[in-house]
Order: sequence, then structure tokens, then C-alpha cells
Amino acid sequence: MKKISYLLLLFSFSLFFVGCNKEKKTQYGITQQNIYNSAHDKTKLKTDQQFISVLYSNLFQKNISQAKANAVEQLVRSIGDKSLAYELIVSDFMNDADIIIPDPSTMREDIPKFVDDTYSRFYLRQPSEAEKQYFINFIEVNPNITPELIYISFATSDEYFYY
Amino acid sequence: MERREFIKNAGIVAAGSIVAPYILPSGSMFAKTTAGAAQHVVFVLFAGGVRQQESVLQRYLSDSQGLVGSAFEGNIMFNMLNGGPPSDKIVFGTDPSIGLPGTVPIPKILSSTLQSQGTFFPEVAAQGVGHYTGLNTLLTGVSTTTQGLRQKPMYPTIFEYARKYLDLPATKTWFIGNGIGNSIPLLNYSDHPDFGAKYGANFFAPSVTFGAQGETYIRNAKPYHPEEELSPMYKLQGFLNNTFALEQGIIGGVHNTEEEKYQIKLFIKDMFAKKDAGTIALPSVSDNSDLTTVGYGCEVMKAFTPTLTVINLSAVDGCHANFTGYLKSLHRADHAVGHIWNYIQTQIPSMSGKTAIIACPEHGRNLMGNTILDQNDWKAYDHSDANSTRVFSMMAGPSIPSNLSVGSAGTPIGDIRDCVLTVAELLGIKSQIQAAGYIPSGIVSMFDRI
Repeated sequence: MKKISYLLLLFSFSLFFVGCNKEKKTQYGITQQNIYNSAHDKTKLKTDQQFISVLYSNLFQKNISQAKANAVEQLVRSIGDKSLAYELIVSDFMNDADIIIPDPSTMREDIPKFVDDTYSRFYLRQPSEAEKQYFINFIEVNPNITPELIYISFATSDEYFYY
Repeated sequence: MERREFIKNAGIVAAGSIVAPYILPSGSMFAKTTAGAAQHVVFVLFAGGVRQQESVLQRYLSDSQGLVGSAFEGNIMFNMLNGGPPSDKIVFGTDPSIGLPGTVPIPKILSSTLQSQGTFFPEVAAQGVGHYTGLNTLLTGVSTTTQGLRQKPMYPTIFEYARKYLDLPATKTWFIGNGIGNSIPLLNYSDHPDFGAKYGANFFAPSVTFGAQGETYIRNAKPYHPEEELSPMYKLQGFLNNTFALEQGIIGGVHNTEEEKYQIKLFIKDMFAKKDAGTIALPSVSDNSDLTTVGYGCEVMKAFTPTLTVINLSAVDGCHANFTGYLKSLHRADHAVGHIWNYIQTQIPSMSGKTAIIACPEHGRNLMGNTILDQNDWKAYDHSDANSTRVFSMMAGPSIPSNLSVGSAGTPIGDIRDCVLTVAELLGIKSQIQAAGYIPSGIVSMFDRI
């Protein structure tokens, strides 16, 4: 009987240690990843719908509504020179107060970071050393160049049409 | 670059192109073309399905609704065809302030009809009875059963032939569409490997480009300074494209030069301003989509003086469900053609007297009506039978015989596939197109049919 009491006491103690374990907090998140190593990985042309959705997300950091996407797509189809159509649409988007774009002073404070961020934002890859150096030099010697104009050049470039 | 400077530069380039030879992509110093009869051609796709009975045969309600008597016969295409109008049951005009709707015919624009001014082919064979097939055939000179509906033309279009053989920049060839449905935007160039996008025409569908979508998404596009802002932007874009093109090649689409793009942007700005001011070059009556399309087409011609302009009309296709509406649309399509021709002669001095016009439907409509009745209890007509392959064609302009009619209902002469070689002959590139080898044997220009 005494032996049983000891065993019960031991069991009760063990429950205390097991039962009072502190719960581990596990957090899951998303780390921004570049999914392409180079431009050569992109082989498929985006559809107009895909292009418009991606473009809008890149510029506004939120999803485009279906109605807006349809209207923009119809507009693109109504103009023969797609590059021109997108140039006009992007420059029209630039009037929107909700657009998320660095200001020129931020760009010039850390040009290499701006170049990396821009390649990552539009092309989902890092620039090659040659590309990065070209952009750094170009921004440094061109006082009129702004993030806005750079964004338009990316958004209307051939690579941006591919995935 | 300021507009003035751009114009000056463009002038210098134009002058240079006259005095200095240049090397074409083919490697030759000059294009091997013979001088064409016209410096500009306007090709109206008189489309949507035009029934021969209400157009050329001028039967109005006689061959469609069983009404008997000369009062129900007559011409409702005052600008294109000779012949007096019907005198009874007039429904195709505009609405008077007091009285029945449609009872006021639109006044004739041209003092002399296109039939009188040029050469008329009253009985021509269409190829197929589908809109896209027909339009494709009009623009390529080829009809093939393997052409998909949502597929770019398989054979080179007249735009590509003109740009390639005349070495034209993109802004010298324009396709003005009535909308973006039915694959219309696909028709400005083909998928053909030897031609394609690099020889494609510029395209606008004015109802969309300058409609609600354009108002919302391009009207307020920022007017960047061409030299201080656009130039470096294009330089960066060029760098990005060159990097990508190393492995991938360039993407498709019509390519305009930076100067052409700038010119088009100015044009778009100008159109929205004119729209606000109510000064778009619309016809005197502009109450349907064809007439609005034509107004913007005239603006394109005035701004760019294209070598080749193709304008697509289609409102008559309402005939599937409303015969009264069809008659109205047919009357307005004629008004549209009259306006185009009159506008060129009176408002575009650089094209006046140097421009030829061609008009041809893509197909006709059925002999027998369907079961749909409209507000006047008139039967509607589809397009699927042999009568739907009966159409007409006409041309007018420099060196084109006037007041000449070739063929008749009993002796059909001509084929809608002839239009490509006709445009080609007018522009002086017929032999190159024939040599390219895609036009079927037996297909010739309308001049060869005379």
C-alpha cells in the first residue's frame, strides 16, 4: 500500500513537470526572394491581363480590381503599339496619389540600394554587376532622372513583358 | 525636344530622304517600285454584311419585306451609288422633331457619287460568309479555311506589304477599327515570319481609345518633356531591352520610333482636347459608332497623312435582329464614306487629288429572312447562304476610270481578294506582292478586270 502511494506521488510530480511545459511560440513569415537568377530564365510572354495585374501590384503594392483590369486591358487592345499604350497608362498611373515610389532624394542617398530594389521589384532578380554599374553611373550623371522615369523604363521594357 | 524642333527635325529628315539614297533592309539602295497612280490610298472595309438587294440592287423593302411597288424601291446610299431614293416608308434617316422616327434622310455630301467619279463592280464574289474571314481576306488577298478566328492573319496584310516594299514608317499605315471585338485588333499585321509586327500598321479603336477607357487611363498621362525626361527614359529602356534581347529577341507589337511615339502622344492629347471642344472631324450626322469611328479616322489622316489608311465599318451587322436599324446603318455607312472622301478633298490639302479610295463589303447577307421581327414587323437577315457571297466593290481617285461599271448581276466580275492587288497597283508595289507568292493565281487587281 505504501509502495503504491509512493508511485502515485511520483506520477503526480511527473505530471506537474510535463503539464507545465511552456508552449513554444512558432512564427511563420515570408522572406522576399528573387526567383530569377538572370533575364534568360524568363521565356513566356505575359498575357495582357497578367501584365496589367503585375504592373498594378508593382506600382501600388495592392491588387487591381477586376473591373479596372478589364478596362485597362481593353484600352491596351485598342492601341496598336503596345509599348506606347503601356507608357501612357503608366504615366497616367503616376498621377495617382496612392502610387508607392521612392522620392528622388531617397534614390540619390543610396543609389546602389535603389538599383537593387528596382530590379527586384520589377524583374524579380538582382542586377548583374554590369547592369548595376550602368544604372549607378547613369543616375549619377543625369540630374533630371527620377525614380518615376526609371520605373516607367522598367515597366515598359521587354523583359517586364516576360516571366 | 519642343514640338517646333521636332517638326523641324522631321522636315530635315524628310528632305534628306529625298536627296540622299538609303539602304533598305533588303540591302538595295532604292525600293524597286514603279510609280503608283496614287500617293495615298484609303481602303474602307464597308463591312458588317451588306445585302446586295438593299445596296447595289436598290430594292429597299421590295426584296426583303414583300412590299410591292416602286415606292418601296430605291437607293439609300446617296454618296456611293447613282439612283433615286425610295418614296414610301422612309425609316433610314434621322428623327424629325415632330413626326415619325427616321423619316429625314441624311443630305447627300458629294456632288457626284463615287460610282460616277470612279469604277464600280456591282457583282463581286465574297469568300466565305464570316466577318473575320471576310476582313482577313480583304486585307491579305487570301482566303483559307485554316485561318483561326482568334488568330492573327496567316498571310501578310496589305499593311505589311506597303511598309516593306515602300519602306514606310509605322505612322504611314493606319488601321482604324470600329471596336476591339471580333478580333479586329489582330488585323494590323500577320503572323507571317517574313513580315509580321515590324511591318505592322498603327491601330486605334476610337470608341475605346478615346472612349471611357481612354478618358480614365490615358487622358491625363503626364506630358513628359521630350528632351529632358523622355530621352533619358528611352535610353534606359533601350539599355534594358538590349540586355534582354541578347538571348530572348525583341517582343512583338508595332514599333514606332521615339519621334513617332511623341507624334502619336500629341495626337492623343489633341483628340481629347478636340473631344471636349466638340471639334472632332465628325460627319454632319454622327449618331452611330461607324460615324464616330470615321471622324477619328479623318483626324488620323489629317495628322499623319498616311500612305495607307484602312477604316472598318460594321454597324450594319445589327441586321441579325433589326432590319430597320440595318437600313439606318447602311444609310449612315454611305454617309461615312461620303464624309471621308469629302474631308480628304476639302480639309487635307496634302492628300487632296492624290488619294484613291476603295470600298468593299467583306460579305453580303441571306436571301431569306430569319424569324426575328423589328418594330416595323420587318424580318431580320443573317449571313450564311449563297446570297451572302454577293457583294460589290468600287474605287475612285487619280488614274481610275470614271463613270465605269464593270460586270452585272448576270455577269459577275471581280473577287474581294482583288482589293490587295488593287491597293498595291495604286501604290506601285503590285509586282513585288505578286512575286512574294502568297496571292492565289487568278486573283488580280480591279484594273486588270476592266
